[in-house]
Amino acid sequence: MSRDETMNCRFEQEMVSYLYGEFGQSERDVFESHLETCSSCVDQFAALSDARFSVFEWQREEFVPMETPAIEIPWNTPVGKPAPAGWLTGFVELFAFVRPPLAMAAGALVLFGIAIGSFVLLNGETEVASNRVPGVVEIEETIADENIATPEFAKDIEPRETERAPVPQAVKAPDGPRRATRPATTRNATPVSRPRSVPVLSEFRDVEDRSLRLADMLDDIGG
Amino acid sequence: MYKDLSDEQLVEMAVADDRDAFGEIVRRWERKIFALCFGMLGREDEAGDAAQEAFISAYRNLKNFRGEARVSSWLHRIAVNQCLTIKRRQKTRAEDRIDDGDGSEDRTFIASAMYSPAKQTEQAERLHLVRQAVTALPTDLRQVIVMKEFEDMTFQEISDTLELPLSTVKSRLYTALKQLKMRLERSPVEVV
Repeated sequence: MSRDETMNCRFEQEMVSYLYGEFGQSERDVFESHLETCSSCVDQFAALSDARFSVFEWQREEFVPMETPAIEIPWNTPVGKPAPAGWLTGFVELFAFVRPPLAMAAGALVLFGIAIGSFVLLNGETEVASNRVPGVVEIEETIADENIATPEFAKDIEPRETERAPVPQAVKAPDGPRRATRPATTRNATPVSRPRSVPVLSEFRDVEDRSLRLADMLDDIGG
Repeated sequence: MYKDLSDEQLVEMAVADDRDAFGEIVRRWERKIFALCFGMLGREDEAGDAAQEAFISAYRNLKNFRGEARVSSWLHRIAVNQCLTIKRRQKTRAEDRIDDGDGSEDRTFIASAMYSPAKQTEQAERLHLVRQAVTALPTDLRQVIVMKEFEDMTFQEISDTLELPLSTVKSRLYTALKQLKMRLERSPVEVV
């Protein structure tokens, strides 16, 4: 048989069937007839037989003499029904496809988002609440321009002390931080949404006083 | 002295009536020829007889060896022919002891001269090498060879168990045996 024929010998794969006696009689006859003419298959078969016999010997001489280990079954252990799955088990099973590290990261992200959202909401409410402290009235102060001269008609008017808002005193709001408040008698009380702090300028008062004193002096001169 | 000579040189010396040279050939090849006969016949006692007859036939036909093939191939051919003769003799006697197709074969162990106490060390070393070689096989090949040799399962049973086609099971076993052969040849047991 040529080398090409031996390389593609169709009996090569069937050698194991013959080797382990799993050929039918007719198949065995065909294979044995082939062995009589194919030297390559004879050598191949000899190699397989040698390897197979080595394993056979190993099995017979090392495994067969081994004692079968005794199998002990714990008959006394009660075998009951598994505990019914709770809602948590079902919830966890929803994420069973996600690997534990990813699941943990996702859970941490969710918790972080909830924390951030809660913080933002709480801060927002607090800010609004503090802006609307009950009893606090915001007024718009009109500050006289020191450069404007007193008109003539006003000269006869008894000078009177400009009603200045009293120095705001810090009054503790009932449920909020300390903020400046104004007494209820303050005129032009107009509630405003945004507080405007009234400047407390002692220098302002001095300037005004100065102009009034001048008016007084002019009145004196006028008679 | 004879250990360093090639098989062809030993045959030449044996042709020149050097019996020790032929004895060295027998020592080198007796196990492999015995394994081949066991593969053909399936019984150790019959394989032992067949191997014996094969070497006797080889000695008688030394002069017919022309050196065209290797000595091993020549011995293989003689052993195969011997086994086929035995099988035909058994068939004509209607005493076929090998069952057809059911995969079961008698594994009766009968001690022969090849397993004399003098070869215990060699045998133990060989078994160690075989264990290593089988353990080193890839899992898909190892499981087929273990199922066949340790559990004595048929190819069909292995095919059903592993849910593999029958041809795949045979192919894996063929590949496993070839790989085992290569591994064992890489670590030969020193013949005493």
